[in-house]
This record gives sequence, C-alpha cells and structure tokens, in this order.
Amino acid sequence: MDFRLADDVLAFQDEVRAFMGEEMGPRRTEGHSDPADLTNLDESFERALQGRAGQRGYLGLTVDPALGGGGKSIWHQVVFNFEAARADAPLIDTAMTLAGSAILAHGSAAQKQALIPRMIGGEIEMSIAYSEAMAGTELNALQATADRDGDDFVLRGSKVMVTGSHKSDYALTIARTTADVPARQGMTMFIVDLGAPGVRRTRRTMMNGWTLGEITFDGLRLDADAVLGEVDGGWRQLMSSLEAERSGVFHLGFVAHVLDLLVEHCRTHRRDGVLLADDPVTRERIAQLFIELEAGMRLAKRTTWLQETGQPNHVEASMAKVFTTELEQRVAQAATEIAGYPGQVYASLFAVAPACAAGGGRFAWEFLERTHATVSVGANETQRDTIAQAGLGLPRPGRP
Amino acid sequence: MDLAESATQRRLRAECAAALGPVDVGAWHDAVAAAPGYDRKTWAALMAGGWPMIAVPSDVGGGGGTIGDLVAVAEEFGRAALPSPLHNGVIQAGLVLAAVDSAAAIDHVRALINGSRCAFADLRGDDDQCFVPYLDSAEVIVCVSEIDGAAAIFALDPAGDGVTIETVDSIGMERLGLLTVDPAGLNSETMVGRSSTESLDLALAAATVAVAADVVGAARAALDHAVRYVTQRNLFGRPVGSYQAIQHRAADMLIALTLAADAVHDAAGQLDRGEDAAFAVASAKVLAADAGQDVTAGCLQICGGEGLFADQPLHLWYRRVKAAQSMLGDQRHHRQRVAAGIFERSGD
Repeated sequence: MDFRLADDVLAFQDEVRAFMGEEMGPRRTEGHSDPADLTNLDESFERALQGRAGQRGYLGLTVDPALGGGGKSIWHQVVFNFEAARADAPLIDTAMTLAGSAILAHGSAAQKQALIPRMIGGEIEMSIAYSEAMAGTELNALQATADRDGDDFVLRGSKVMVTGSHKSDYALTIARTTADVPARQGMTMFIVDLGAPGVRRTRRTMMNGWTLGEITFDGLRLDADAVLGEVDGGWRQLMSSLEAERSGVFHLGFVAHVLDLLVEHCRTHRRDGVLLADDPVTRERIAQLFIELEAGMRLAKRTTWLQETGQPNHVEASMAKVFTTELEQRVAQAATEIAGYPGQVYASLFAVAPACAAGGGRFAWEFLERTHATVSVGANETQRDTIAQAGLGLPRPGRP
Repeated sequence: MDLAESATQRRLRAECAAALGPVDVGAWHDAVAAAPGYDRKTWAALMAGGWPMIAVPSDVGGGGGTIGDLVAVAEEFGRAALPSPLHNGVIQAGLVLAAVDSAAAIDHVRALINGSRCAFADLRGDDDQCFVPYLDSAEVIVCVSEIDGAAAIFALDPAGDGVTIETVDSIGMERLGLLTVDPAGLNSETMVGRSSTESLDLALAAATVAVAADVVGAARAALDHAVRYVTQRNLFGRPVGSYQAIQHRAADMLIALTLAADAVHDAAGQLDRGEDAAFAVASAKVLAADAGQDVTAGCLQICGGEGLFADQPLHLWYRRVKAAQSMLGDQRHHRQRVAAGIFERSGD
C-alpha cells in the first residue's frame, strides 16, 4: 500500500507553504489582530489575503477552468487546506470552501456565472446560515419561512451560529417554502445578499472571545433568482452536497502547528530541573501525539483516495471528523499540562504575547478554542452513529 | 465510619451558598475585565462573613474550624465560580502564616483577617518563575524560601526593590502575576519566622485539599447545569438527555465526580484527625483535577452549541478547574509523591 503523495502534489505543497510563510509572517500580520473574529485577524487583512490567494488561483483549485478554476486534483486541495490551517491563514472559511460545492452542484448557469468567478477570485465572503436556536443537529426542525408572493418569496426567521456573518457579502440559507408537508419535503435553499434591507445581523461572543453571528430576516423579499436549486428541494440538496473538506485535514494542520510549538517549548524549558525534551514522561506523551497526527494523515488520505476513485467515503469522512477534532483536544490538553503554569498564560493569535507565555500563549488559546469542533458540523455523537450503522451495519435503534 | 457531613458543615455550606448566590456569568465577566479581577464589595462581604478564614486557628482570629469545614466552603466557591483571592490570598497565606510560631506571623494573620490583601508564593524549587493569582492587588506577599535547609517565611512589599510583577492573561482569568524576587530581599528584615517542615507541609496539605474541593464544587455545578439543559433540550422528538450516548457520558462524569468528592472529604477527615494523610491528599488533588477536566469538558460536549457561548456558565467552570490544575501541584507532581511513597518505602 502506497500512501505517498505524487511529486507534483508535494511540489505544490512546498509552493503553498512558501506562500503562507510569506503572507502570514509577523511582518504582515502585525497590527491586524482581531480577537473578536474567528480568524483572529481583521477583515481588511482577510480580504486582501483572499484577493491575493484568488489571483494565485488558490481558491478554486479543483473547479473547472471554464468557470475560472484551477482544474487541479483533489490532492492539491488537500495539501493546500493543510498548509493554510498550519499557518492559521484566513483561507479556510472562504466563500468557495463554505458555499462553493453547493453552488456548483445546484446553482443555475446565471448564478454560477455571477458568483463563482468572484468567489474564486477571493472578492467576496460568504456565510452558511442554516442552524436555528431550535434546529441545530435537528435541522429539519427549522422554523424560518419563505412565503410565496407572486414570483417572489418573503423570508422571515432567525438563523444562529453563523460563522463570519458580520463581514460576509452573501449567505446561503434554508427556509420552509411549503407548509403542509414534512419539513424535509418543503424547504428551499436561498442565496441572500446580506446588505439588503430586511436583514439584521448581530454577534454573540463565544467562550474564546470571537463571535458567531445571528441573522434575522425581517420580511426580506427575494426574487426567484435567489432560489438555489429546486423549490422544496433544499433538504435533498443538503444531503447530497459534499462538504468541500471531508478529510479532517484542517484540524490536522492546526495539530501539526501546535505540536511544533510544543516540541520547541520542550527544547527550551525544564521541569524539576530536567529539560522537558529529555524527560521520559514528556517524550512518551509527545511521541504518542505525533503517532496520532500521522494516523490522522493516513485517514485523510484514505478518505480523499476513496473520493477521488469514486467510492463511497461518508464513513471514512465521519471517522476523520471524530478523530481529528478529538485529537485537537488531546493536543491542547497535553500542551497546557506539559507547559505547566506558563501553559495557562493566554494570548489570541497574532497578538503580542508576554515572554513567559508558553507557545506564545497558543496552548492556552487552544485549550479554550478546541471545544466547538466536536459539537459542530455534525456533532461527534451523530458521526459515531453513522460509523456504527453505515460502517459496521449495526442496527439503528428503534425510534418511538 | 461516618460519611455524613457534620451539622456544622451543613450549616456552613448553606450559609456560604446563600451568601455566594447562584453562578452569575455577567458578574464574572465584569469582575475579570480589569484589576483587581474580583469584585471588592462581594469579597469584603464574604470576608466579613468569616468563611474564607474558617480553618485559620481561632487564637489568631480565624474561624477555628476544621479542614472538613473548609472543604464545604471551598466547594461552594467553586460552584459559584466566584473570582476571588480565596485560595492563594487567604487559605494559603493564612494557613502558612499560622504555621509560623512568631509574634510577627500572628500580626500578619490578624491583618489578613482584617482585610489586608495577601498573596502567597512558594519560592522553593528550581523554577525562577513563580505564578501567583491576584498578585497585582496584593498588599503583602508571603513567601516561603529555604534557608540552611529549613523553611523560612517572609513578608515582602510588592512595591519594594527586588520584587517584579508582570500580570498576564490566563485561562482562569485570575490576574495571574509572574513574580520575580531578588534573593537579597529575603533577609532578616523581611523574615516573619520559621516553620517546621511538618507544620508547613500540613498547612499546604490543607490548602491543597481546599483547592481540590473547589474543583469538585465547580465540576458538580457544571454537571448539574448540563443535566438540566439536556433534560429540557429536545432532539428528534425527545430530550437530548434521553439518548444513550449522552447518558453514558453523564454516568462516567458522575463516577469521576463521586470518586473525587469522596477523596477530598476523606483527605480532610484524615488531616482533621491528625493521621498521616500524604497519600490521601495527593489522591484528592489528582482525582479532583482529572474529574474537573473530564466533567467540565464533557458538559461542554453534551450541551452542544449553546453551551459554548461566553454568556453561558460552562466555560466559567471549565476555566476554573484548569487554573486549579497548576495550583499546589498538578497531577504529575502528586503522582510522583505517591510513587515515592510506594517505591521508596523501606520494606514493611
């Protein structure tokens, strides 16, 4: 079995790593720290970087060149994602990453023409606004409505847990369009201009200091061009849309970065007079984490290879999601524990950290940060259901 | 054998709980936003109530209570997630000073009880750096150092020469201060007195159990909150808490919490009866720290998205137990002591 990436993919990875090193270096990020944003960077930095990444062809790597994409392989996308995460680049939640696959799969020619080139160019930001206060894991309990009025729709309702809505130009959302049928048969996806009147945006702070958005649609009038895909086809479209990143490689990028910081910390700090890098307990703990990181990389490769070769991979994608998000937590726990009190000292990314902060304050930031990924984008409990039922054929529990 | 709390402990717990009130997320954010990192009025009222100094001997003005009493008080502080200098500033400084047999030490304890803001720093060991919570609002720093192979206690002026303080942001938002002390400042003028190793160890053992108790209180409050939430939050037509995965996780959290709570109470009891409690104290810190992490993280997981917001209480407990992990020895430190007790024991 050969897990090696092809030479051209490795060469591309080196190119991307160099790009990230240049774009995300301290000279560039200095003065752009914004702890209230998920990226910890301000909007002007993000938009500028996305524009430059777009010009380099980095934002639509696997998209058909006829639509302005790079026509590259999924492997190029995977290594790009890994290096972007490793560099903490705000190139993870791009419009293409979040909404690209849905628009490519279900958009009209006119919608694709109007949006895809600008998304690939890094000119616009987008958000996904599906969840509601009473409809998270159970999305089909959603209550937002889009009532027909002639050829138009009038959108009413509130969406929560929206990443980046404060800075986004557009959102993909979903609402009930037909009332007297089960929810799954009566919801429609829409592309919404967030600058329109009838859209109210607020922000709610998470435990690690950055905000998630809440969007209230107050009788927002949408014409038929705003429908993405089929009217009442929203649920089917959601289920058939592949998320752009299914291999867990973003999380592996974060892990790789933090482990590098942890190794560096151990080379330069002592516990009870012993250099941590020489301490057997610490060495064993860190070795295990590197073993798990590489194991995660293999699973990411397997998930991707299955996708590339047209084989089902939803079980592997679920395993990757569970494994990588929980590995992130173990790494945060290990780093803060190994570093002791200095590991408690906190700094947000790209902020100036005190000299006494272990890992530049990153370990403490990780401890507070890595609490959300195991409950979002399909909580790990539901992922384990998929693994057990679809992966092992275990019987579904009877529903009342 | 008696596994019930004493009547005194029950009364103390109830009174302390009433004085602290329920966890208040808004008040927490207000308190940690700026120096001193806690609400002075709230803290003054709690000091006036006598709970923080419950275990300081009465002959120097403390409550004269037991370590069991102290555990009840500390658990309630953990439950309420109240930012305060309770542990480092009163329990550690107070009990260490009370272990010093000198007039100067007695004066310092009385001042502490009357509101003099102390901080405690153990300067023994190899680390140059000593991290102290709520350091930048301290009026006097009580330090332990070694002189001629024995422990000596000093009282330093934070504004004095030879003392540098750098306040940093931390997971626990407890105004963590990096303290550097010039050894020349630890001299006959600043020395408060000496303590026997045994007395000092006992003081720190009691303080360790108090930290462990705080962690248990915080973990229990988190679990109570999470259970209430998942009981009323519905998913696919039934409560989140009715799903087996959630119930099994919650069951594991209750096991960890129960083991930790009993370890804390056992250690307190052994200390109060004057027994050799070294193993029990180490166990209490280890089990509480492990349970604190597993329970608070587990509660964040089962409560899903809503629990992750800053305006919700779960992260208050999550942060608090993490901050306590490094205080008075992490799990690895205490396991090493247990191992020494096992492997270095002369054959018996």
